[in-house]
Amino acid sequence: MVIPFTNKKTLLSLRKSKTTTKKAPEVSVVGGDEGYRLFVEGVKEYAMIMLDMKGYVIGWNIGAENLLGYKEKAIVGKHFSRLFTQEDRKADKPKLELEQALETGRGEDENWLVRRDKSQFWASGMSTPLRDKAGNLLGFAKIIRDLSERKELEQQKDDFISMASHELKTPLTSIKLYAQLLHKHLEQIKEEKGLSHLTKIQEQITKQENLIRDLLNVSKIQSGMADYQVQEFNLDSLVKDTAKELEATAPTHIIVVVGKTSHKVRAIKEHIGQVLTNFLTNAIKYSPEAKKINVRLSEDKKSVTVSVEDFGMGIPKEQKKRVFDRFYRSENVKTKSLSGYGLGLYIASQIIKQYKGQIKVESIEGKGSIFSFSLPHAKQK
Amino acid sequence: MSKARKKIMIADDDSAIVDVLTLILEDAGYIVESTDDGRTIKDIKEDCPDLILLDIWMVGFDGRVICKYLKGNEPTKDIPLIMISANKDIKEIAMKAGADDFIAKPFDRQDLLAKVAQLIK
Repeated sequence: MVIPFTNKKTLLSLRKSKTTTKKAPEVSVVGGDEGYRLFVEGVKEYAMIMLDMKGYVIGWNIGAENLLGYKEKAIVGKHFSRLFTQEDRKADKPKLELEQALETGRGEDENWLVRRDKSQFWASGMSTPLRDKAGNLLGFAKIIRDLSERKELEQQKDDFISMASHELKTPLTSIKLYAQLLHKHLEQIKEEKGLSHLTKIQEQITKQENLIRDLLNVSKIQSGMADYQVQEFNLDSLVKDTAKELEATAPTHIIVVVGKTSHKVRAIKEHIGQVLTNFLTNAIKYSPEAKKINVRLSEDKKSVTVSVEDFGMGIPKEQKKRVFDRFYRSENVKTKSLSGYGLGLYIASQIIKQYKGQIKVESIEGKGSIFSFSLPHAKQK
Repeated sequence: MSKARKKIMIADDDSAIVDVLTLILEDAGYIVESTDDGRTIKDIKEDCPDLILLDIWMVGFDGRVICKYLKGNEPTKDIPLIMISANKDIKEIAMKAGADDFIAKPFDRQDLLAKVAQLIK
């Protein structure tokens, strides 16, 4: 039985059972159900596949065509197991999925699926048995969604956590070990006052240690984020406040803020503050001979931009692209033995990307750099 | 420590960690050598250390690869190796790479000395 979704004469319609909601949906083959045809065809983001009782494809919508690369003609009549990876086929996953659907009313899972061109994507799929009014099995409906993007984001998050973990714990380890060595030494020479101070330091180290452990617990990072709220705000005051704060800690430089914006942005304010602090501390750190830093606020039809200009050592042309990479430190910075992990700009770029903004750098070696970020206007609801 | 002094090699690219580990281990009577270059540790041929402390995350080098190499090659395969890492999965990583033991950052001086003493017998 081949029932292409596009064939008006033999369209499928699904109706919920009138007797019980738990029962699988009934299927009847009706002609001219234009609304349903348009519905199935119109769904472009989800692959909707109809299988017969044995798992052979009998229906295939445009979403399935887009996602899996097979035209309806090319796949109808073929077994759906070809969408699985070789590994999953060996493990009998296609069969198990249909069995689970029969047993529980639906089979749901996330796995790698294979497109016609053999490329793979991470998919979320759900299979539901389809029965006629008498309860006889007619086949299965399978709906598939591409989750590659989410999978990639999860990977990025994991990478970030493992990097943060390393960066926070390494200095803490040396502090802790030096303190323990010092403790041993002070005990030997019976330096009571020093010991009492050191004990206080060690208590604080333990506190810090616990804090970092909690912070790195993924679930806690997520729930912790609840304390910060995404909000709509004007960047001008945040920029001015951050500039004032940093000016106070670096009396060597004057930070001049010019321009203003009228559009609000939508973000967690602390995140954007972190990016600004990073730009400004870098500007101060890498322009030890200069006295002035310029900050400009501007906007166009779509976005709001903040740029931070310093008159320092600048970045060699060939290294400009890499400054936002994790752990990357420009060669001229390394040779001047300025401290840093090469993390600040990486984190800044991750933050700006998260809000669908752009982060940029312009620089002339020996003259200075302009770091800027743009954020889209907050949409009025 | 009156018996013949044992030699420990530290491979880590964090200078503060190398410095403090050296102080602790020398204080405990060991001879300490260190490197921040993953390549040199692979080249150990003669005058082998009695134990290696290896950080799994050195810029440009993967400690897991270095560990597998050391454990798979003749002059170094029997040298006890302790992996150091801040990674929460360090136990699994160390086992897979063939390390003899692991120690998770941030660790205590006493824990480190106990693990070293146990393996260096």
